Amino acid sequence: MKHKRSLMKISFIITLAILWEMVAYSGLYPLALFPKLEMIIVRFVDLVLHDALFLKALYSISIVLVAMVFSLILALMMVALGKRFEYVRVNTEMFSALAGPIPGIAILPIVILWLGISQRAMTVIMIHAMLWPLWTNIVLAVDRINNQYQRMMSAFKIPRLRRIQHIYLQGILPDLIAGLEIAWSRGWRALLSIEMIFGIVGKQSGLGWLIYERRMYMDTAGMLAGLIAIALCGILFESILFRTKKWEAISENNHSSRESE
Amino acid sequence: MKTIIQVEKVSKKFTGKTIFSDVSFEVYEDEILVIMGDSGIGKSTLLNIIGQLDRAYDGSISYDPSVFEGNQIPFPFVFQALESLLPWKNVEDNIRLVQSNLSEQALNEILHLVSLESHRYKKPHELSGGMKQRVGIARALVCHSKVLLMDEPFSSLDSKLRKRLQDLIVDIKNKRGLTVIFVTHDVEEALRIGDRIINLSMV
Repeated sequence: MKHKRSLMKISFIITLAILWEMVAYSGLYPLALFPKLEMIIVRFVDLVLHDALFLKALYSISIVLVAMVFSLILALMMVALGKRFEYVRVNTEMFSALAGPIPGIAILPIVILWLGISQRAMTVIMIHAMLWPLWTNIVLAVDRINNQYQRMMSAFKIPRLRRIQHIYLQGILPDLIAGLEIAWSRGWRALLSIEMIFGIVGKQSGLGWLIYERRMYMDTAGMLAGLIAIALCGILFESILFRTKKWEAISENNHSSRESE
Repeated sequence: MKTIIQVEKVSKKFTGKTIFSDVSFEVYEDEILVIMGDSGIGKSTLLNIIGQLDRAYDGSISYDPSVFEGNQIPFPFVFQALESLLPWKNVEDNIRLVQSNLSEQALNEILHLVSLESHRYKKPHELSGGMKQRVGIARALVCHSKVLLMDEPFSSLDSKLRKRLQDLIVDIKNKRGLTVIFVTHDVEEALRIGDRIINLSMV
């Protein structure tokens, strides 16, 4: 079954590649606009060897990860405070409903005005992009645990610290991973958009800027190579999360027993 | 027979609607008292009130101070399988969750009592419905309470398994001198294990 799925994917990629090559070789579009596959691959290798593509990718990933850690800590604090104070919960819910649908890039102009073009501004936008899906997933998971285990926790007088350690933190893990997955994709997209607008912030530039920069040189193959790098980073992160999910499934944190009831 | 819990004119309202009113009865030491009634009549609510999980009620419940020390209330529950065990913890950890300082010997004894010695490290999804409920019973027993509250614990099991677990409860109650308050809507189950039966009904 796994092999069959892999074959299906590979055959689809090969079909796409053939179609791409057919269009490129047909001469319908100039090569400068629609380069051949080998040109893109050569450019990709060239960017890796001479333009520090990996470093740029690592830089972009590191920014997302740092913002993700901040967002996670903030989300957990907001959930904890919301659980303790009804006022916080109600208003966080309202604020999440208001701010959640606003894409990170939409608050960029106001953040530039307030904080300037800086690493700090980037982090604020990233946190905005990632915080709300994380908070929503965690708060729903905590509510579910409350509904399901509140009676048990009260009946057995399980102390608060043990509840947090053994029930809440372990129980929210599947939803937390799902939240991180959404946060990652939102943060990643926000970062690339910001990089295209901000350009270089600090000593290093990321993948977004790389694509933007290639456009200035009419380097279509370079832009496409940059896009491939972005997709590869996405796949890499997804595969890490997939491994976490797999581990989590093994440790039965996916609540499989609920389904088997 | 010694009365250990006295329920007097207990009424429960929820969002203005009366669930039940003026319920009075006694719970005797070392008995299995079955609370019966149709679905939605308030059996589980009454059990929550007796177990002091729900304190928003009218009337009074008195607990014999010579039998109960303050820290014995609320009483341990055995729930329906659905809300019972933490799926990410194995049998031992599910039991230890409610009694962290449980000795190895006490744990072995309890696992032996419910015949789960060989399933100690299994996760709930690796257990049958009956085994899960036995873990729930073991978890309640390690609390060393004199009263055990059981809320339709076997409702999701087949009749053969139910009978085996009903026998187990009677056996444990006799061995340990427990008082069990058992909620069910199954007449056969009530007659099989109950020393006394209280039937909640609409007036």
